[in-house]
Amino acid sequence: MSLLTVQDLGVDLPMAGMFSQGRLNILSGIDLTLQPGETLGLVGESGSGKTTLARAVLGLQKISSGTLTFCGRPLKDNHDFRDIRRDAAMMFQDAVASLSPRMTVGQLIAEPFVIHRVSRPSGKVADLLAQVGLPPDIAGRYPHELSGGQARRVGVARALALTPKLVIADEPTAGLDVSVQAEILNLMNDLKAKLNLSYLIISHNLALVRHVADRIAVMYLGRLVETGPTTQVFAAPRHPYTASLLAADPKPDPRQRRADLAIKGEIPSILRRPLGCEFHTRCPMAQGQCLTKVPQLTEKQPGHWARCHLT
Amino acid sequence: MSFADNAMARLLRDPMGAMGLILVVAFLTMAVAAPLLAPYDPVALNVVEKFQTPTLAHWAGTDQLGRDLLSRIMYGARTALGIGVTSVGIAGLLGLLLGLIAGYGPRWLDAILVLAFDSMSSLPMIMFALAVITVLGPGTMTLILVVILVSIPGYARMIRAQTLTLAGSDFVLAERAMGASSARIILRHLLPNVVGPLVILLSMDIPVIIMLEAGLSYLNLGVRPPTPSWGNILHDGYTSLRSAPYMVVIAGIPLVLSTLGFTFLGEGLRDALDPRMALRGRI
Amino acid sequence: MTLLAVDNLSLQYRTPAGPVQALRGVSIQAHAGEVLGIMGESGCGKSTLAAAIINLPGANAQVTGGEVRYRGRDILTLPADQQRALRGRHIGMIFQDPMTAFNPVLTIGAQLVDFQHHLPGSTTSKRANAQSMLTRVGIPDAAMCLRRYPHELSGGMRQRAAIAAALLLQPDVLIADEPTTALDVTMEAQIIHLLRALQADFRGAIIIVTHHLGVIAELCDRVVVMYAGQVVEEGLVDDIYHAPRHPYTAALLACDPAKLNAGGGRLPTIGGRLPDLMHPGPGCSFAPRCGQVRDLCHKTPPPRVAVSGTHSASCHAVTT
Repeated sequence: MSLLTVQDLGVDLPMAGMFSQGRLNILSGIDLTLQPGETLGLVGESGSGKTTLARAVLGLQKISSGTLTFCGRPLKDNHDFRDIRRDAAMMFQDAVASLSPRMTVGQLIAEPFVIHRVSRPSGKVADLLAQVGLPPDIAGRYPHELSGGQARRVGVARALALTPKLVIADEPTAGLDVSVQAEILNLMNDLKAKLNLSYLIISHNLALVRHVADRIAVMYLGRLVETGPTTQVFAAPRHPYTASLLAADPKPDPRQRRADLAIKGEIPSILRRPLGCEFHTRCPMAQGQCLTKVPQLTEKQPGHWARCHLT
Repeated sequence: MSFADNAMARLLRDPMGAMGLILVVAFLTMAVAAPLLAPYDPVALNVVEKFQTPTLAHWAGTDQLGRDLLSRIMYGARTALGIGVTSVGIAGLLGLLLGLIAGYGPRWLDAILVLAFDSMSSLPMIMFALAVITVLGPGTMTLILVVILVSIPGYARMIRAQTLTLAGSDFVLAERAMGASSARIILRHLLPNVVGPLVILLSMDIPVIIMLEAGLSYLNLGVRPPTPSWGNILHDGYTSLRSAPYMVVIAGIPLVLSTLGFTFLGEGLRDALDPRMALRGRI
Repeated sequence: MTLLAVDNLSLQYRTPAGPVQALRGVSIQAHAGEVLGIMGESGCGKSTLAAAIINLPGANAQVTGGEVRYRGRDILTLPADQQRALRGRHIGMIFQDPMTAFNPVLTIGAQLVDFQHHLPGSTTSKRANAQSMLTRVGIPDAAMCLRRYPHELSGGMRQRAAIAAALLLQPDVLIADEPTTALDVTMEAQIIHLLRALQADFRGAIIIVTHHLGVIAELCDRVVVMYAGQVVEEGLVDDIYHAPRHPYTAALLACDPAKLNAGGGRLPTIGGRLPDLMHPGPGCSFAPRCGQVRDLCHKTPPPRVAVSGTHSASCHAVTT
């Protein structure tokens, strides 16, 4: 049984404006599954809807269509979401900002126990701090007194407090130096093995995703354009957008400089969503049908799906 | 060292803040312990000793009815601070509550509350005060009621604006993601973050209310004589300005000092409670 | 030709707890026609160095020694008005957040014209100048862009406009502080491509300050690696990435998951943390975290060892 199933999920936002009744389509037709112990990487540029998707999974964003199933149980009302928030934890992009500023680290880590009225074994806070490699005396500090790496670790400790099944990490290493990033990624990796966690990792850092994810899902303008095993997608991407993203990522090797510009233009505004294939405005391969016909997600190889007319 | 200890230490290190605190504590002591400290009964008449300039027996002199001015000023502190602290305190508490509800509650409730705040603050304060006094009659309770009604919208708006900003912040989202209830988010996470600036604003508003009380009492629209009030003493002083000019001066001193005290304290608190200052103190 | 030379520059920030030594005897040279990368992690002093070069390091900063020479003249001792004339005119700057480069209440056009205020010529010709510069940095409808306000442009377009603004006065030295950090991967690639295209017909020196190892590898000819306010290694980009000699450089490059060709496994880490720059020790500042540390490293500052004519590292373990 899969841990999390997202089926045909859509999110619309009401348009701001006093008299207009328009709805802005943010996400549509998202299908994803996540198996226990698996890491899924969610990749895309800003505005692709990846953060909205993560929030929708926890019920922090109201969905307009589709279904969410967690551990075989459909998530419908607030009560269901209250339960999933116990078994699925979230790590935020800005780790310091995600910690309540007037609480000490000790109080912050104890927060999930208080919220879900779970009795907390004595010494649990120190255990959790030790698990993420922080000294016990840090429990008395306030969030603004932490370094970026320490705040990340506190975020990990808090996420693990109630031993969740799923951890959703939004840009888990944004703003960190490479050496600190490596420490956090190793920590997440160790904990995954130890606690049999599943991760949903949202990132625009392709090298990071390739390093941690078993499968990846690529999003563009609120649609899933490609999903498949990480090694396969990186070795032979089946959507031109994925191919462009991979080509755009700067390699830390001066001998592998890119010869030419990988992708032209900018991500279009969701207010003016292109007709046909959403990517045709920037696609180097776009042809007649791409401008008019919406491509469907099709299985190009076992387990490897892409939304493209051409590949 | 906790944040609160730290803030106190920083407040005392700032000379203005320390002076504000000393003045405020002095006036509060005067108000609370007036029956113990006052040398005479503030309303006891002694026509024989009227219009006395300060003497050893009467340190601040006596008024047109021979009442001891020092005692009247001490009891006046009771009136002034009683009205100031009570009304500002209640207004602050209600403003805090309404502001939090407007900022984090359902949007329709916010729309209604904002409309109410706007209508309230569009009334000219003095006109409104005079209207209420006309209906209810002058007196301490009326004064407190007017101040509360007039002050709530300002506090509530400030709290609402801060709550709205905080409601969109990551730590509130993180709490929601952990499954925290709205009540918990409001009480444990929003309240501690908005209450600091409110305390500062309140402490700076108390002198305004003291002045308002003095002003209305001077116009005979506030506290009814013979209850001692700084405004009433000023009023008496002005009526006998020719025969006893010192009365006005003496009645003015506590007004000036208390205003300065509360303002300094408010400014000191603002600096002392700023978390960035806290950070700077620790590096 | 050396356009810009920083010579043994030391700078400290005054804090209530005492001075923090942000730069300790930094020397770099930027030559005409080259792209120099300044690489390092947060707290290494790279942004302080960039700010010190244009002499805008902040009010609590104090230069305690050394010189910054532009074409042989020490900038730091010039009178304020001559320094101002030098900035923008001869030394251009591109910031991480392109929003900060523009005034939010004026149009891009008005600001690009205003930047040229001490040049001769009519407003019309300055506007035409601005438009051609916007076209050159790859803005599709430059005439339209002139009429827009900064917030109406996307992040990538705004960074292009900021580059146009920096190039408008034809400086010989262009300093870019984290020019792609705020951008998405595809925009980052486009800005890298643009900077590379500009370099082809730019006679001056470009200095790229970033923590992003990929950006330096893509763009730079020469690299200066900084750690704890000091230059620890300097060399041609290929030497730095393929034959690093300083243990810190090697460790830093190894941490990047992009370096690994397959996923999974543990990433190498550096361990420990940055030294306290308030009380730096007498020896090598990387010694507490170094895998090749010896007794000597804790006591004596490492010598600058020249590995080749273009490659040098400050380390006791390096031999020629």
